[in-house]
Amino acid sequence: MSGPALVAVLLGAAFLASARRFGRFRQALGLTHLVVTGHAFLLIGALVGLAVTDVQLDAMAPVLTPIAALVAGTIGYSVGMRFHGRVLRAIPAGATRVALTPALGVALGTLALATVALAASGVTPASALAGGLVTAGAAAVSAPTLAAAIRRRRGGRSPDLLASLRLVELSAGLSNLLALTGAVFAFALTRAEGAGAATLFWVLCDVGLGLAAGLVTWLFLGGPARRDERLLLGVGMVAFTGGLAEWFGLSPAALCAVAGATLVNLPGDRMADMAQAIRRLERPALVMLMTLTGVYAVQDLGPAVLLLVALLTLGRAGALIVLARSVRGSLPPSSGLAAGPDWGKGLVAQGSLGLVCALAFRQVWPGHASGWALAAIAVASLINEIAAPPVLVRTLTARATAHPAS
Amino acid sequence: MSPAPHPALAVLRRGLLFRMLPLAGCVLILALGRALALPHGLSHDRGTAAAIGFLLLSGYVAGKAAVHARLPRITGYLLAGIALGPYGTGVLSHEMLGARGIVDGVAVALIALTAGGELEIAWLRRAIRRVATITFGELIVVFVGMFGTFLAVQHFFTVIPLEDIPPSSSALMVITMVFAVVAVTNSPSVTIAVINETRSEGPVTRTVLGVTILKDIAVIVFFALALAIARNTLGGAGDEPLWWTLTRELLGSTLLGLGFGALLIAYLRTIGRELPVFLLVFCLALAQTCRALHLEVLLAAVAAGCLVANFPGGHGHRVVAAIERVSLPVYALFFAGAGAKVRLDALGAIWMPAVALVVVRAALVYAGTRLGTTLAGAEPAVRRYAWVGFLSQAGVTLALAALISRSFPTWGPALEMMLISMIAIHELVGPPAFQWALGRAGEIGGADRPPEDEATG
Repeated sequence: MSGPALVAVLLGAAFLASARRFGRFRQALGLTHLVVTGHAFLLIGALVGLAVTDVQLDAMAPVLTPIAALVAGTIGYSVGMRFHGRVLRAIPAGATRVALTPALGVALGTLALATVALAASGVTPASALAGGLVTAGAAAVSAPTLAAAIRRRRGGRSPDLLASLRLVELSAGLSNLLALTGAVFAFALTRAEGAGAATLFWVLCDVGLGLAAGLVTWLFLGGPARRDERLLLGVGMVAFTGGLAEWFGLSPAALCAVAGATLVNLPGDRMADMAQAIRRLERPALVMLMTLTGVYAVQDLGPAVLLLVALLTLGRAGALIVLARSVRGSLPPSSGLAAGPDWGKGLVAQGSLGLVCALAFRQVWPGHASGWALAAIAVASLINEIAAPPVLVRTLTARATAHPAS
Repeated sequence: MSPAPHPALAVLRRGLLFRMLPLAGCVLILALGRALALPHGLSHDRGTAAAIGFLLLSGYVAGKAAVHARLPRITGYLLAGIALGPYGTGVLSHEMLGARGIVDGVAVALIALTAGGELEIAWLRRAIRRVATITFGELIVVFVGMFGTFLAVQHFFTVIPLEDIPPSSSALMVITMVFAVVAVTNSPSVTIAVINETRSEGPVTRTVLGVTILKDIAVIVFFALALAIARNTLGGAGDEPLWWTLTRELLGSTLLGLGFGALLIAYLRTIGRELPVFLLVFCLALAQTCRALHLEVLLAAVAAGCLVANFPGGHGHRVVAAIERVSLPVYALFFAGAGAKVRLDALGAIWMPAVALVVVRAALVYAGTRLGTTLAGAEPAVRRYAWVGFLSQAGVTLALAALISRSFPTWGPALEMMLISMIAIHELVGPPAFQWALGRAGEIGGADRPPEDEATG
């Protein structure tokens, strides 16, 4: 496919996905939810990817790699800025353990099985472990995309369901830490394999550079600046930090998340300016992430991917629900959170951070392990996003029947 | 109680604390990262995103400093690029800046789209004779003058080694003609960027804008003619027929631009949301399409902007307003990147003939514009100050110089080196000079002032 044709397809698809007059058409096909979460663009990317050859993709790499770093940086900053000390301190005692149990269990299980699956497919043990870490991180992450929509429904207003939704949101937020940790170690492991230095050295580089970038961002945002100047500073810092990570072969999302977390925990309200810039970048970044993921995912489909997809869909959903049940009822009502029997169903939708880490891994360290991991995570993410709404609606309907809202 | 610090001191302190200190931090991170990572197999072809981010940040800081020094922001961006680029301190390498070309395309398209968005058909109809007279007055005077000057400079300084010039009797004349055509060009991006930044409006602004766009079209024609003559006489790479080159570049670019303009109108009428983001994607698509089809992105974007501006519904103002929201990062990146390409080594090697040619060119631009404006019966301010808007040279000239070098490998590189040296001077002198001229003409901030009748009525 030629460059202009590719551009035309993307523009046409974006038009169909956004034009008001196609709203009913999208609703009829059940695409509205997928447009909101960005997964519709994953499909568009996959269609484009089918028409692009490996050679063309390699030729486009010098352009696509910085874009991927920028996207990863944006989402990384966005995630990191949620880890404000004040917010973390407000988490009720014992809630962190309950919220993290399903995600951690799923991550460990996926790490073991995905590493074995990748190693059995013929990649080196270190690459298999790195691919397993990225896959495990993606499996751990949940997206509370439906929580807001559920709150607006009649059945969503019952107090115990609201408490469950709060736990789902807490769990989804904390699960990002697992994805970031997985990414940090996966990149560091691969970096160390080629460079000779210890994995821990690169882990420390990732964290140290992130802290330094956060401090620099904080300083930049201290002076007086117009709105468009703050946008420039925001874009500049995201590109610089994400690019730095990509340059050193480290995880752009993780490095930017550390920078974002550093920024919000330094004195003053300077993160508000950065948050504004990030908000303006986030949607285009998500669209680019999904499209690029789609393009790359179809290049690496294979038997190993099928195995990983099964693990990330059926295995993941089942494990989440079972592990969530194992901690049910362990939170006091005073915490405002409730670990009901079905709260694990709210974790089935997969967050975009796992995709970000996988895409950056594929871009920075191309190979079979990173390619298969990305393809599997992309396909699983789409399946989980399609499966999550019916699962939740069924739960919701049951809840509404049991506790009719006044 | 301690006395309040002097305002200038407070500005300096703020600048040091919130601009220079974090920028130094970025440099330190880059240097530290290199020192730590280079021995461990750091890839040289990576780091484009980091370079883009660093250019943005340093361009921003330098742009702020330039404003404090009463210079245009773009001078600050250019200086930042020169200082940090591979020909300056080398903080950013060639490899890191390699894939930045995509940004250039978007920036040129955005700048030209703004210019097209300001072109109203009613004004064009009224002013076309005047704009054409000024354009051709300046073109002829500068071309003839630079032709003679280059022959003299070649005689005294031997810009092109004699052994590189083909032994034909007309060879030097043809080379001189090619040089003179390139010397005529000026930078539409710099001109439009200075106008946008200073929010200028008035006769000088409008005339300079109109002449710049018309001259860009004329230069395409003249350069294609000069190249065809040079190839016929001296031989060289590329054998596309002249008529096809002109049809493709002029008609093809305009038609493509109109097509993209129609697409933009359709978007504005049916979706209309997230306009700044859409415009960035739109400009990327336009630039990539032009690149693939070997068309002129500037001309295509002007045509698109002009169509949108003159289509019923007042879409032009919406587009220009949306571009303004994203223009700062794009301009900073584009001009800082342009600065990074300035070859100080070339200027150092042949600065004497380069300065001589720049001075003579400035005098010729003044004479040509003065002739044109007098013949056109332009206002006194236009006669006095419009010429300054045609001094700067940047991307277009650089692209033509590179094309000459590629087409004529024997004498082309020497001529390219001379043109690059001249561009280095013009890039630094042009923007502040034009801002000064707009200030003298009283047109800075004119776009924000209400029209006369509304203000008085």
